[in-house]
Amino acid sequence: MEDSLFSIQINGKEYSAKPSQTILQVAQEHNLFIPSICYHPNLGSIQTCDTCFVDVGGELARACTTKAEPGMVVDFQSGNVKDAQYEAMSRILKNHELYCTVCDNNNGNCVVHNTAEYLEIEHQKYQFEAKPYPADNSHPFYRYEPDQCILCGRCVEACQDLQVNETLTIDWGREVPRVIWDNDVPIDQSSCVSCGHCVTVCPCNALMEKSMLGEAGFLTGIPPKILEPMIDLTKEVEPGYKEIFAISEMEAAMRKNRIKRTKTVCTYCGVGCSFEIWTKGRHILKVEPQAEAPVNGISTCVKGKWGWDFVNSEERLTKPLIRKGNEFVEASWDEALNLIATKLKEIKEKDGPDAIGYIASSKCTNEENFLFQKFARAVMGTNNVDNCSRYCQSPATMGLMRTVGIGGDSGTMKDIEQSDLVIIVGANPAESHPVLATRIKRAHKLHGQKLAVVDIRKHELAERADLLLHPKPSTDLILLSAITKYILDQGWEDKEFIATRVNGFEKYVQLLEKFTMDYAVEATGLEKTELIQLAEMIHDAKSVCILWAMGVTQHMGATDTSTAISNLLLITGNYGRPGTGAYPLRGHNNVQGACDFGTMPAWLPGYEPVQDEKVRGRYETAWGAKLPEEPGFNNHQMVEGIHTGKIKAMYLFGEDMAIVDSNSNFVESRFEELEFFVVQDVFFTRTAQYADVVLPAAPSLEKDGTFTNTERRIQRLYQVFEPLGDSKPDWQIFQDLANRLGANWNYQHPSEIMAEAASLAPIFSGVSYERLEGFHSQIWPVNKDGSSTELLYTEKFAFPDGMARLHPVDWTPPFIAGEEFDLHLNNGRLLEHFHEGNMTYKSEGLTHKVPNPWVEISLELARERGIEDGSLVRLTSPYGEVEVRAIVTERVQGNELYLSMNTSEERKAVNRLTSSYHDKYTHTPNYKEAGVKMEVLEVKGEPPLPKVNYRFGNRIPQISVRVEDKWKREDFTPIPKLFESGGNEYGETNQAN
Amino acid sequence: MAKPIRQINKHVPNPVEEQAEALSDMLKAITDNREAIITSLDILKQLQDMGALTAIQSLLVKRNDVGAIAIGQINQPTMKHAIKNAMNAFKFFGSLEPEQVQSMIQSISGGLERFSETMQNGESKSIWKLSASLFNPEVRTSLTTMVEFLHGMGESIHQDQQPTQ
Repeated sequence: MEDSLFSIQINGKEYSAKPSQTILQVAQEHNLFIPSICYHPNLGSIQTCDTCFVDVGGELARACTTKAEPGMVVDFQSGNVKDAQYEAMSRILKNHELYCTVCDNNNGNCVVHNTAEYLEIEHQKYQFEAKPYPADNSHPFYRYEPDQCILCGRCVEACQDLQVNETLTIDWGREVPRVIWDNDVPIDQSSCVSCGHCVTVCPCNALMEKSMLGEAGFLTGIPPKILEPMIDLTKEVEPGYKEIFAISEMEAAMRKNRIKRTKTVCTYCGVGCSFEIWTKGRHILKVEPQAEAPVNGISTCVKGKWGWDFVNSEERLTKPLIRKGNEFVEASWDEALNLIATKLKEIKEKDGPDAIGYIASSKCTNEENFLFQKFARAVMGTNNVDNCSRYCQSPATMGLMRTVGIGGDSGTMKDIEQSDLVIIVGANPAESHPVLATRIKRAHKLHGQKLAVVDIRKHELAERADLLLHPKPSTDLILLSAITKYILDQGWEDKEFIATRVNGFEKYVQLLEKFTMDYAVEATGLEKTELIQLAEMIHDAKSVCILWAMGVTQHMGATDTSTAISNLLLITGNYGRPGTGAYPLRGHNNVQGACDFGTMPAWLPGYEPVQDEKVRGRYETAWGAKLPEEPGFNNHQMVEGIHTGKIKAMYLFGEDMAIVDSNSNFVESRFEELEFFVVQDVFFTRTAQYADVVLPAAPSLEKDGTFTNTERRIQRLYQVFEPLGDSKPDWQIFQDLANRLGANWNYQHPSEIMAEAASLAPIFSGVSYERLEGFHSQIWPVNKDGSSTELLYTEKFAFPDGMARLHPVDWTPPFIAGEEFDLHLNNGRLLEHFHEGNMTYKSEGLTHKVPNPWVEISLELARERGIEDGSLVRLTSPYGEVEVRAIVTERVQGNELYLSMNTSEERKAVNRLTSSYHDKYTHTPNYKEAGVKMEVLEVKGEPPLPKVNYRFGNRIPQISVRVEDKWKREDFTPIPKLFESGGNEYGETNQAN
Repeated sequence: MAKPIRQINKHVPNPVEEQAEALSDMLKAITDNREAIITSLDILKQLQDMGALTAIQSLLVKRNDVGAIAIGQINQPTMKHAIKNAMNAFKFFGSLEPEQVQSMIQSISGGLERFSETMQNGESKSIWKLSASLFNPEVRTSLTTMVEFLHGMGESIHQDQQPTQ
């Protein structure tokens, strides 16, 4: 696009500009500073602050909205521009008391401070006026102080159009406008999902993290009875703001010495948000997202923004523990590691290397997973190594490997954002992948993206969808295949794409014959028109992305359903172009990376088969060890192997398998049978109770490393804290243990481990810590020169002949528990908690919002069984029972229940109910195919979900902050108008600003 | 066979051991910084003798109360004036050109010499003589300077009185 560059004149000099750039963007690109308080690169123009007025050909114009045009003459140094900007800033300061030195937001990045200083504001032109509203401190994590609020609307824009939760508005109709939550309720009782966007974008201290208050500054902890007179005094005697700014700058500089800012990658879901963490000692001041973060920009969700208290929890494991009789006894690292080394060696010699199983962690870093599989393979001589993707995404991986060759997302979130049509099958991104969901919600709300959801539960995106299909559980494959067939029958397939890029078309079409509309209608319970509507939407869309998660993959036919998704995309030519592709949404921060770096029984790092002699040879040379040739056991087979006597010992890290594996009663009784069991974790988990040795590990904030998100994007995390107590980063523990077993490793830093992986696995060949510095990231396959592959399959598919493969699949009927178990039990995540909850329940604020798991019951079923919010019910399956309180909701229908899965309380844990049936190819458990019966134990009871939960809120959707309403106010005078009329009366009528 | 257990026997550090460890750490720090610590101790002793330490101690304990009183005192109109005046004075000195000030001070001291002579002599000139002095170039220079000074001051006063745009 080089040729479309043109030039404009700014302050008498020529600068290059791109089409559709605003004057402000051109200036910013050339490092020219135009004040712009309400403008934020992730939000765009809001037009409330008026500080960006510049002179364009003799007229005052907003730099943030005026597009650059060839030959344009811009000036922002002339007197009238200065006057206009001064007027705008003065209006802002009428709403904002400047007491910077004693303000917790005075950290060098306060937009209001920096702009006032830049404009050389000397005195308050208009007297500051307090607003007639008290501060809102109701929310556990942040506060709103109307007196400091400049009404710029950044928070509203972020809430309405970036996070798209639609909670915040500014009520311009009142005498004194302010930001309000829902219909003006306290923040805590609103529909606020606590994502933190508003706080992050606030250009001053009106919205602030409570963890910052009184903590960030040297003087901010001063009690109010001294602070308030001090502010009065300063204002009274102020020599002009210049001197005040000088002092506040000194103070801000001093803070930099005390406040440490460290870039990290979120430890929760697979979206891979990165941000700075601000800390003072071990106190976390705040999570500060940065516009330059490649995945999320300034976006976060409630967990990433606030859920870090677990790091300092008193329940952290800080010493190795050894089982002695009926208790665990604290031990030194030497004792613990020597015991493990002796025991593992003994069992290996007695029962062979394959008698030991190794479970890796999708929560830990790439380097740790790489080292762990190296330990299992090269030191211990077995391929019995697997990770928790077995519980979630292995079927998706396999479905994609069958058809397009790479088991990962086809593109990045950019593609999802720009797609014409997003189809979500069996996934709840608004709660499980919140920041990714914001991109879909934004595109759907603002840019005309179509959204279709196939789900049995009406989650947030289902509510927002243009088309919502609710098929009978476990019939997605039929639905997808029937739509594919319909598209073929209509001749809507992408013929050229199929002819040039796809193999196996004829055979596939033959086997698709049975999936007629009539069959689909009968099997899925959907109307024919609904199915056709989806087919038409696909046909009408120029680009389609399909996203799916556990609603597809945790079924007996999971791999085949994933394959059917990919087949549909191939038939319609929706691969290899921007805005297209298959997106299995990874659940944990590093599920993708754990698989990529080889903690899988059949694959070496980078998905090279262990059976391939040439590949093995490469590793054998590098590692100086003979590697086992046949694929080892996966998680499921290991647990079975304990029972059959094949597995005698296990080494597990960062995985609470006793809770997260299905049919947990069965899994636990297997663990009891182990001869020797090592568990390495941050907390004393339920699984740890079965261990012989428990090793204390360090969480992500206490180590260096990299995570790979759902987009295949590798990102660095930097160490924030020293490991707590005697805990250690997992990679150091593996190294210490391996060296006791004769490995002679000497890694000083995870970068050396990554360098080794990059030298061995071709898909990582250009990955290096230098290239990943700061917020830089790389998306594999990474070429030798370090370049990433954002969008896969643009030229060829990942098979030797470069052609994709249509893979015929048939439907697998789901597991039916029996007639007596008359209710279908669905289950899954919540926004506020993560996994078994051992991290998020350590946060008081998160627990305040969601203190318990609950079961959702439909209105019909509630009426039929006499159930209300708070009723206690017992759910019984053939495998166990749980007791949990009910919420009656329209999110579920008929006899379908939904049980939230985030708990480590065994009486409430869904996996007491799930079975040991699984996907036939990958052994992923069929978590989503449980049947239960329900008894009502108590009708009346405390509802499990408090009223301060966003689910009870009342959203107020609108586009942006409705600045037009501000402009319509009688007391508002546009700044250019003020200067046209001579300027004598300006400033007298500006209450609205 | 491993039944699940939750019981953790935590090694609670023996207080005596803990104390001994802390003591040895401190001893090491003291011996490493012997000179500095002895000097500091001496300073502390002096401060203790003059009662300064107890004063500081009470001040710290009651810092919020004392702070409130102090800020209350400072927050009086007279104090505010004093602070403002001090700052204005500071600004004033800052705005003067050092060379001009120097030449002015020199001329003043020259004037003072003559002034003190006159004082000692007790001499008083007749009106005639005084008006004759106007022909003296030195006196004229001095008077011109004074008049120009008055001019400048008057201009400033005028400007302040006019409404600003």
